[in-house]
Amino acid sequence: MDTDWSLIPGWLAMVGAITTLASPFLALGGVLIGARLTRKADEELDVWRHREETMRMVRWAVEQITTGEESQTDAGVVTLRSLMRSELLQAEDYDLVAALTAAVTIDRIGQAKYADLADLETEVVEQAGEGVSADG
Amino acid sequence: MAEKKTVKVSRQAVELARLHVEAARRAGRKPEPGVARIATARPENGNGAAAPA
Repeated sequence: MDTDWSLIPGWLAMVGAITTLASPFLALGGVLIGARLTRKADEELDVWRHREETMRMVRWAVEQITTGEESQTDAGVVTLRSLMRSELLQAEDYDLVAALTAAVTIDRIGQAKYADLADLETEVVEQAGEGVSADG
Repeated sequence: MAEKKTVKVSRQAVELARLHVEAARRAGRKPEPGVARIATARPENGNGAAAPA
């Protein structure tokens, strides 16, 4: 029995041919888009993990600073400074560090002595030893 | 004439103040004026120049 291929319309044959030729490229495009989306998700996850670790270090540094111990304060300050200079922190993190360090600094010297600094005639001296005092 | 008032601050306070100034600068803000003054405190036995940050 002979098959009459002429029963397939010409346009349908054309669609079939185009589909056959285009399908590998469509598959390749799908793979590329999938790979790109996966890589973007990985990058976002990496940024998130990185930020999480950075904030953990910031929290540790602040805890060290707020203990009030000289060596631990130094460790905290060095850690925060290193984080800032390594450009690991983002713009909003600098705000946080600035606010924290201002609060701790004022707490260290005391509100009364800090208020004295409003007077521009007041001289600020870094004392050699540990502790805070004011005179005058 | 009244004696000039002197506020003595610890080295740690100065370090923290310098960190505040640096962080505020990087955040694009002006540091707290009082804290900025602490950051430029002169050493007790120094020659009057503030130590570098």
